[in-house]
Amino acid sequence: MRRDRPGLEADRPLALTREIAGRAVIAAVDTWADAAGAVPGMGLADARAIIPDLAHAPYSAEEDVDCLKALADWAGRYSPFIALDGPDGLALDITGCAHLFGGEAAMLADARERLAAQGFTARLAIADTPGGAAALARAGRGLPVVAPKGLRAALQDLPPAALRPDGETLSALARLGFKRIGELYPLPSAELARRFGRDLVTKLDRALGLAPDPLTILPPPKPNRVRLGFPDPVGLRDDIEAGLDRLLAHLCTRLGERGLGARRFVLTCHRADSTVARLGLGTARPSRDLEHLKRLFGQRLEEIDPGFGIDLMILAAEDTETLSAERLQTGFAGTGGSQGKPAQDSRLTALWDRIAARIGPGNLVALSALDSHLPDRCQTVRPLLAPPGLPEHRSATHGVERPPLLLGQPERLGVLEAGDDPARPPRRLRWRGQAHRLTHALGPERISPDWWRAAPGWANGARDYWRVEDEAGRRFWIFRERADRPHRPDLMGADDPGWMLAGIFA
Amino acid sequence: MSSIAYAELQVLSNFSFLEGASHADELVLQAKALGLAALGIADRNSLAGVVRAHVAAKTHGLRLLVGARLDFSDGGSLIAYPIDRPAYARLSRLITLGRRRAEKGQADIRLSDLPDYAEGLILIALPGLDGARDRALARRLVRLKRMADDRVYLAAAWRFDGQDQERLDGLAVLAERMGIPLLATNDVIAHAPARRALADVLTCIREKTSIDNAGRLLERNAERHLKQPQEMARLFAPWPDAIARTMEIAERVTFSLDELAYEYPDEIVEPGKTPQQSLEDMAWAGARWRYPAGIPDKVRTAIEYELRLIGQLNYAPYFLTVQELVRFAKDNGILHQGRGSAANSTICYCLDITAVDPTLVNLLFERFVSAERGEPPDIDVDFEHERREEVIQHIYQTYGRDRAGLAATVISYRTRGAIRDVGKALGLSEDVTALISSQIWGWSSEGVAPERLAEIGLDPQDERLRLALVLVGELMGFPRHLSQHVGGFVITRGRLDELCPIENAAMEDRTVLEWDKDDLDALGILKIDVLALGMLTCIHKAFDLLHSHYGKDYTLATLPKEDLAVYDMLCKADSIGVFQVESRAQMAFLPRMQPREFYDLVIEVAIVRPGPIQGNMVHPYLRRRSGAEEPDYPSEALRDVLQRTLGVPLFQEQAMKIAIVAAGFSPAEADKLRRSMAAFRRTGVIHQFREKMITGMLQNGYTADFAERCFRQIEGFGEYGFPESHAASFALLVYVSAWLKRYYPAVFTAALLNSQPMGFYAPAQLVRDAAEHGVEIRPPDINRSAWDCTLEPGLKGYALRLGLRQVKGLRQEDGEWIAAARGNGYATVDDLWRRAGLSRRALEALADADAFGSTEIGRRGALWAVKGLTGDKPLPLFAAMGEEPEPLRDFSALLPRATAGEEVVADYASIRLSLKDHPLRLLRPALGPSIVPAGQLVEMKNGSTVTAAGLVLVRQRPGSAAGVIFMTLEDETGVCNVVVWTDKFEAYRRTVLQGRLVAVKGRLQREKIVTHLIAEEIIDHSSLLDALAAGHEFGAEGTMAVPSVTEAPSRNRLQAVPRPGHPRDQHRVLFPRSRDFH
Repeated sequence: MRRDRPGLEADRPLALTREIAGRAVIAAVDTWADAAGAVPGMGLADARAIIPDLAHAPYSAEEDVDCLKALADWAGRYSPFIALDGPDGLALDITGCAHLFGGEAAMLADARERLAAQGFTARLAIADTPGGAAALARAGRGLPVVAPKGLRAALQDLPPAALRPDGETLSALARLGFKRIGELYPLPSAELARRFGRDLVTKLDRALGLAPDPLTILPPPKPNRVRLGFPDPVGLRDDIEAGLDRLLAHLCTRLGERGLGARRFVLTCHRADSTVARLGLGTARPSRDLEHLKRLFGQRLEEIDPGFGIDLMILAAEDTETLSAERLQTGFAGTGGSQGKPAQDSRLTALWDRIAARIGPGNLVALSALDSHLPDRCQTVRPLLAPPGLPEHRSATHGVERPPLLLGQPERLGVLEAGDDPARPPRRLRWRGQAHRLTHALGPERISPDWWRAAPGWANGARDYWRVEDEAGRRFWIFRERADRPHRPDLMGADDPGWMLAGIFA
Repeated sequence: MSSIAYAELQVLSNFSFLEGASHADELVLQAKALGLAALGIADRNSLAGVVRAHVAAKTHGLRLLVGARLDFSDGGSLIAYPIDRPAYARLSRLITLGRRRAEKGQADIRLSDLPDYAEGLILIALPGLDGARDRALARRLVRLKRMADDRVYLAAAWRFDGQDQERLDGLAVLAERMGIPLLATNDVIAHAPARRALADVLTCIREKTSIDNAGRLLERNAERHLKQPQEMARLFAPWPDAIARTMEIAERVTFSLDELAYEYPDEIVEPGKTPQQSLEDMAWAGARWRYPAGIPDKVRTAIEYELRLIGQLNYAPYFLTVQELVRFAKDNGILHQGRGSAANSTICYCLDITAVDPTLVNLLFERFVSAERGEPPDIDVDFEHERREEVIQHIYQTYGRDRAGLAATVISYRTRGAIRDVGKALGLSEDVTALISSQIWGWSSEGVAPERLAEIGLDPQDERLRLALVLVGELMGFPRHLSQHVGGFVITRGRLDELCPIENAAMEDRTVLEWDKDDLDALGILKIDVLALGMLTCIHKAFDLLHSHYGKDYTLATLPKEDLAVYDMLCKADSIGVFQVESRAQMAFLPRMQPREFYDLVIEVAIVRPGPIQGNMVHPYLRRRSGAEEPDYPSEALRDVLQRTLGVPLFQEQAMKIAIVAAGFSPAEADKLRRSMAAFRRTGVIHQFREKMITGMLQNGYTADFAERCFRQIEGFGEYGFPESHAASFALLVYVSAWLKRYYPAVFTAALLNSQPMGFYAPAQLVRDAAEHGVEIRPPDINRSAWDCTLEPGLKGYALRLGLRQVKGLRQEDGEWIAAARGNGYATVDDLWRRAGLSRRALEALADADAFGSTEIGRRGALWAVKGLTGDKPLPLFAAMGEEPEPLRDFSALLPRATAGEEVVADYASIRLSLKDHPLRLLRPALGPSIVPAGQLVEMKNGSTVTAAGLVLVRQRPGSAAGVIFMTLEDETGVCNVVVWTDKFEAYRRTVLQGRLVAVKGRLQREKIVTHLIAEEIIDHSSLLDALAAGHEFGAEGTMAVPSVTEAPSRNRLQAVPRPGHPRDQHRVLFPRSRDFH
């Protein structure tokens, strides 16, 4: 089961790969890659040797399952009884449903068309038994609808693989020359079971309807969405708020039942004139905290223009994540300060949410530490309400003290009186028109630019940083690009900008 | 020159794996250039890199201090420099102790171990970044002071981290208080600041991260390189003593690796005799045994001469050591053959070290053992590959593990590994690195050319990529870890671990020295190569069969010599299975070479190799040999050197001799030249030699072209050196195996099959070749076969009965039980099960191999019966006799009948060949009438366009032939040799790489009797094999359309054919892959 993925060029053969013992191995291929000779189980490097333009993306079994489950939900349109059939199939019990679609053949045609429209290639079949239908769908050709009593004949020309026995059984069957299921019919079950195991016989009997084969029906889906209709359209803020409160209470309870929290909530209001007003907001952490959400919505409720009146409100929770009761307690208890940090933490995130709701989540940023020797790369600005998954960076300690205030742009210093050693800081220097007599200098901390990337401002090579102190006790962080630049001979003799101020200690 | 004397004593070379960023010779050269008084190289817990440093230091005239940095597992580090030889022995033993205690590649040395070994060691304590604030440092210094007193120093180095002043002041105070001198170092990891990038990349590889994520794991700056004495003095101006102390240590340490005099073991000398006397007695006794009719005068003179030379150079113990090994092999019936510079001397012939009759090759002894070289002669001994372990165990038993050990092999970065690791470190996507790597076949040390990048669609201007390629170039040749040498043994009189540290090998029960063969060679330490050779196993088995079936007894030396019929066979390139000359390239060469005598084989073995090919030596030789060109000697002096090879230098010895005779090298220099190419590839002195050689030859009146060619060839030898003495030993095995093939093809084939895996061809081709030589081949059978292939009376002469060893999935133990419990034969599957006590797995393997033929049970019937057996183990015999199980109704008649195609494919799946039929014969109707059988290609006109088809047996892409692929196709009539040029390879890439059955349309090219098909169009018919395996039958009328890959995906065509299982997985199970050589 494969669908187009964003970011992959559509005109190249595609393979999905997984890591096996440090090696990328193909897990699935599309029809082009298949035609070009790539097969699951092949190493990616080998496949590339045959198909140089093979595109690839990581395979995810969970995504496959999620996709299949979503498809099962969709298939509810044909029958309420739906079961998963292996990792890549669905079984529908359509007893009594087919006539709604104009018969079995028409139902199949309809499903095929709709699936194709969604980008799925599907193999479909209808038969008396789930096993028989699965076998026909997976291995059959041409005849997707089998009339009652026709199953035995329909299956006999299919390969034994259509019964999906395990790999060992399958190869044993192949070695004995069985190419058609029909060739197994004349042999006594006991003899077959002795050689190929009970499982094969059971599968055969089930496909033929000789043994019962109950389906494990999936529970019907329940969306994280609640709705409230009004007999008459409402327009007053109080009414809307009361409606919202009911919806929120309902939704939070439902999330609680499922152990979920959401990072995004969307309120959709259907107006009497068939237009729609939407209000969406996000939270810093997954939440199902009723009071908190009420406050957040309360801040922005006026954004909803009721127009001629609202007759239906729908509240949906999106980006849901598992949120256990413990996490809820430490993270979102929200009462008393006795719990110390977690409570404080939760108050802080609640504050972030309120600010973000006002100024927009994109405008709420924080400084975070980066791991680098270069002072100008030690920190970065990141969105505070970052989606989960981005790693936290190691905190920055450099062994040696660095100033809390770094100038955005280093400033040129004038030398009023040089020292004996040109490599050491001068005795007196001038900054912004003021003279400073230096009394102490510690250093140098010699920092070379990152050789693997163009670092703006570092084109001249390594810098010697010094911690200096003037008579008044003010402390500065100053640097000078090294006069000798052994690794950049091309820059020898270039302008020496002299001493620069990088930052100020408190 | 500066007046400041400074020695850098804290240096890691790249033998501190993935940390040191410079080769030892780079460090030495740089130290010399900067004017350092001495250099001390101390790698982490290792002495593995010191010999290289020693050799480089000697070459460039720099004082080297040999030591090691010890990182204690219980905390702290120090550098130890042994003052003298006994102290070196102690250091070596200490490292051995730590290394033997830890896993391969690791060390567990404890500070508490040190007191027992500290005598005579200078100990330089290494403080951490915290300097004197680290309280443990002071405690450690107290302990060190107690055990080594005035030999303890405290290292101080600038870090340029902004805290140097505080730290160095603190260390100075601590040193003062403890009474331990402060020592200036620069904690060097590279010879020059330009290596910072590589050092960072090594850090990334070591820490398994990428440059963008490594952050402060990387160096803050590029200061950890060798610096000028003035610069060091400036940095340490407040502590001038710390600079002076470096010279104090340099003066105290007098030890040099040159003091490691090698001593031969005592065991080999007979009591009461000197080694020379023992050797002389043995040599004469051996001569009388070799020449029972009396020793010819020529031989007598040669022996006398050689003994005199050996006496002069004191090499007798060496010959005795080798002789002792050979004697053991002989006593235990292990076939052996010596090779190497001294191995083909008359004395070695008499001592039975070699079986090459010296009168046949006439090699000059002093060419190999020269007084000037002052190093032991080189003798490698090949043993049967299945029995070499016995010889190795004998060595351990005789000399003990503390006196015998295997040499190491240094595993270094080559292109592929360097691309992979640098790519990862620079965060290139796997895509890109895979793309770069996949475009490189096999190994090379030349790196990746930017033009190649553009060809494969990468942007050579991309900065990351450009950096990556530069770094790949730098990383190549860097050692990555130590592995064990294939068989190089060092045997000493005293303790081996006092010579060099010993560590655990990956193999259990093996220990390995830290030095590789070049290191040992450089120090003049005896190494005997105990190698394994499959062909010797094969020849031994053939001799045994000759003895048991024909009553003939031969040895390597007693086989009839110079048999013309054998040479006739080789001239026809009829050489499948013959040692060394069975490859495609050799087969193409044989008819042109037309070998007529033993020495021709010596040349044949040596000439088809990268060295001579690179040096453009092959064609001139052939032209001269065929008489199309007069041999032309650049000078009279060179006539002596080159006469035997018609003026074309082919052998390593000749190249050396040219350097001496024509370019005025001393023998020692010539040897250094060879060594600089072969061993320490990056010494940077290659160019000096090149100039010296070419100017030398020009001065002596040789042409620049000839000089250039000679040098290029030496360069080639550097990588793939092949000396005449090795060639002579191999040539003997060529002759012996060819003789066996010529006169006893059944014996030869049986022996080859029983020695697998070995050689170039799969069993199917060996069997087929035997059949073409008139040998009757019989299938493996439970009632006829032994484990090995055997001979049994046939229609004419002996027939070859394939052994149960050919059956895939059958264990040797089971195979031997079948033969042992056979009695009057097995009648049924059940019978075999009960009497031989086989597992069901084994029985299934036999059924798959269709090995029940003599019981008239077919493959599927047998399998059905095996599958029907109940229980895991057969019932006890008496129980079975007591009550016969009820005869079951036999359902096997209901099983689907196998087609001929299915049988053939199933045969291939189990025994990798089929005696029933050839798949191509069955498929011919489907392939159409335009396909010419391989057997008829010889009758076609040269230059005509034909189409041939066959199973792909071998794909070869020789490194020497740029981009060309050789494919060997096989059909029921013979084989067809296809040449695929690069452009066609690109066009038919997938078919060439993956096709199992292909048709090739192309032009016939014939030279002498060798026919090639130059591919123009290649069509993949592999799907036909799947169809065959699926039981499809191809009628004579050719009902089935020919699927071709140039159209739609081939398997769509086969949708109409019922198939078992997944359509395309089948062939992977049912058909063997070709043998591919890169």
